[in-house]
Amino acid sequence: MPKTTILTARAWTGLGLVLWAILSGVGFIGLLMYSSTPGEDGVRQRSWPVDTHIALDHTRPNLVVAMHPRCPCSRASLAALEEIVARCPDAVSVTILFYKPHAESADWTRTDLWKSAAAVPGIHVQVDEDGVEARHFGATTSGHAALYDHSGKKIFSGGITAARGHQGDSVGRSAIIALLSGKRQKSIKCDVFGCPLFAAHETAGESMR
Amino acid sequence: MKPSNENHSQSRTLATRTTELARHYEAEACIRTDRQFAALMLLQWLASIGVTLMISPQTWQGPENQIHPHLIASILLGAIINVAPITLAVLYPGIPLTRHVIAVAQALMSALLIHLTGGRIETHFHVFGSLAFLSFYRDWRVLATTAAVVTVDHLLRGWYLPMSVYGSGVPTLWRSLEHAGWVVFEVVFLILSIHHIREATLQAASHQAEAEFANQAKSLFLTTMSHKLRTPLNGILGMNELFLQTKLSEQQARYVDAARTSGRLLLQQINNVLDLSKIEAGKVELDLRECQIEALIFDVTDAMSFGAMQKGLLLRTHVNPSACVTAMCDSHRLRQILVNLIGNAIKFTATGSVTISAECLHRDQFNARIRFCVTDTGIGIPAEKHDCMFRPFTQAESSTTQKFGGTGLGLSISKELVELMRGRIGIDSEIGDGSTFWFEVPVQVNESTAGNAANVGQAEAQPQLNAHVLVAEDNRINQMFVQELLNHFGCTCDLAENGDVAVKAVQSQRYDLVLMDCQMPVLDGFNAAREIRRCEVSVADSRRIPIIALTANAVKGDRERCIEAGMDDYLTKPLNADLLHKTLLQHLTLQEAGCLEKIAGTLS
Repeated sequence: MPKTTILTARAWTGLGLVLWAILSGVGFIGLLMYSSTPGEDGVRQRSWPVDTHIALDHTRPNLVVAMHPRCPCSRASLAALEEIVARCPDAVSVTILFYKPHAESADWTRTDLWKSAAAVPGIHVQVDEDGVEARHFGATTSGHAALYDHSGKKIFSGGITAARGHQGDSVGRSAIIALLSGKRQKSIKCDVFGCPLFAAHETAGESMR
Repeated sequence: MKPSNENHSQSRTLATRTTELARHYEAEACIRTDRQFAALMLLQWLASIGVTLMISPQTWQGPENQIHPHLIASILLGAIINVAPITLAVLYPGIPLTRHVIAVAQALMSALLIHLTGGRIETHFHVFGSLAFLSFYRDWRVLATTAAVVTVDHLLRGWYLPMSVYGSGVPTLWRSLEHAGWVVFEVVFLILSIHHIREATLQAASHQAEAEFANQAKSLFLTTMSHKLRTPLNGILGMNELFLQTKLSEQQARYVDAARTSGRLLLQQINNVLDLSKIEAGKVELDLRECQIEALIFDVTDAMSFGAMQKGLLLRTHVNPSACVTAMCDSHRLRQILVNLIGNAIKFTATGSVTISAECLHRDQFNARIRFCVTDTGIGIPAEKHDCMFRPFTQAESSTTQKFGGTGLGLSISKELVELMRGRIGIDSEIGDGSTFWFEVPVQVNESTAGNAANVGQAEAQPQLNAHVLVAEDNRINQMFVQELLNHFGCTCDLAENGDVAVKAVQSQRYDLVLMDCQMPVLDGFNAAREIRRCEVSVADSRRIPIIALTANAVKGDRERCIEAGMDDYLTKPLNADLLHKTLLQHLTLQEAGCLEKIAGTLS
């Protein structure tokens, strides 16, 4: 009897550990899949939008980034922006458009992300009522960056993080730094990782328009 | 050759013990670390939930929000990761599987935390901290397991999802190896550290093993000394007793009495030293028997009253009715504690009284807690000295030993004995106000046997024994003493100077009983007893002769050795005449009853 009991206990332990390994593996795969799933691409435009209220700086390249002030993933995008500004000081005019639904007060956008962004020298932050400006620049996902040269020609569009909320090296960030350093870059597709800037019905409404 | 062989054997035993202790230390370290990891993992899990609540509680879509998948992952995936290691640490602490599962889980927890904090470089230090903590196991394989998990994770993700680790879409084997390399870098140093710790552990184990062996040698020395001192002391005390029974002048009687007192004192000192060493070595076991507490107190008080009377002190007893119970306890050890406390009280009280009291503090159907107090009207003890009173060789004043005598062991023995009984002991005293030494012990109570032990200590008239006894004893003085006692009891006896002579005597003559000294030249008492029993078995219709061991050794295991050798009872030297008589009477009566039964069986 004791031998059987020991064997049973071992069998249960082994079974439990196999199950544990499978569930842990499935959990991590699910987490990675979520993190690696990009947001919507947005609308492709070739030049500085004509109907925007943001002025183009003709003396240097212009980088416009659309962000949702409450998107946790966008902290990584801001970290990437800080890296770009630090690596290429004064080489680019950076504007962050913070989405604000019209029904909300101005405080709604004053999150720690806003405060962090506003505190970075060389970055200009601006409230984007209902994401009107973001739409002009073709952004639908928080963290979408668009880089224009001094003449208004778009030279980069996409994300600057490697995954959702993931800090560190990314193809988009490296590409922008390279462009600002005067290096020629092949046109590459950089997925945007972040929260959608617009609710489903807002996007649908836009499509209708 | 023999000493060399002994040395070799001893060093091998020492090495074995060292290995055993080192393994024990390491097993303890593993169990302790398992438990610490179980607590840490629980904390990490809660911390991961807390961090996620702070960093990414919700995900947004325009003005709308919902629970962030990271929060769900921190709760569910965190729980999954932690459930196996925590369960194993609780159910099977110390086994290799537990620590390897903990190592894997800790690596997974690092991955989860890094992921939840957005791959922050700071969170990567969790991996290095975990490796350092895992080195507490002192098992390099655990570190290898963690390093393997980290390496496999980076290789797999580096190949299939390079963006998630390196921010690049191109698989880079080199960067995977670089990341794993830093982990291996730390692991190498931790393994070196483990090697040093294990060496230090081995050294500590070796020191402990040496200390244990030295302690065993001390115990052996004390046993031998006890035997060597008790044997001649037995002769001195015995001869003194016999001398006092002869016609002596008043002056001679005084001298002999002084010699007897000194001899008894010496015996008490030897017993105290031996007692303390036995208690310290954990070789004292309680002999629980039924005992009436009230009778025990009166018996001890009676025995001590002479000393009190000589000093002109009043010795009073007050036993609360609640303490008048029949209890299962070691009455011999209780008596020893009371004698120590009362003896001290009498010694340090110049005038007034000594009061012995007992009361029951707590009582249920089966258990009671009895408190004994010995209160004197003596000089008192300052409060700052109370703590050191129970330490060995310590008295309140250094001059006390010279003034009052004693070894300073009585109280420390009492403390050890009380603690062995799972009780507690203490002092309430102030200078000039006398002292109360008290102790409380838990006992099992038995209502049904109340009154059985009422006659403790009552003297009985000694009946004549009328038996023929063989005394196997090599010491001539002890031979004389035992012979005189036996003659006094009405017995005749023959003497045998060693075990071999004793065996031959038993084969050639009929004896009613054998008194067998254990340590004798040629053939010792144990082997002589075995030989006698072997002969009894080989001879048909042979009766079993009672053999009573006489030994100067008073250590644990002696009685068992005697019984195992075929002896029937055991008496320690110096011999107590009353106890010898009682033991002889008991065994002779038993033997007689056995013979009658045998005759009855044959007739029927």
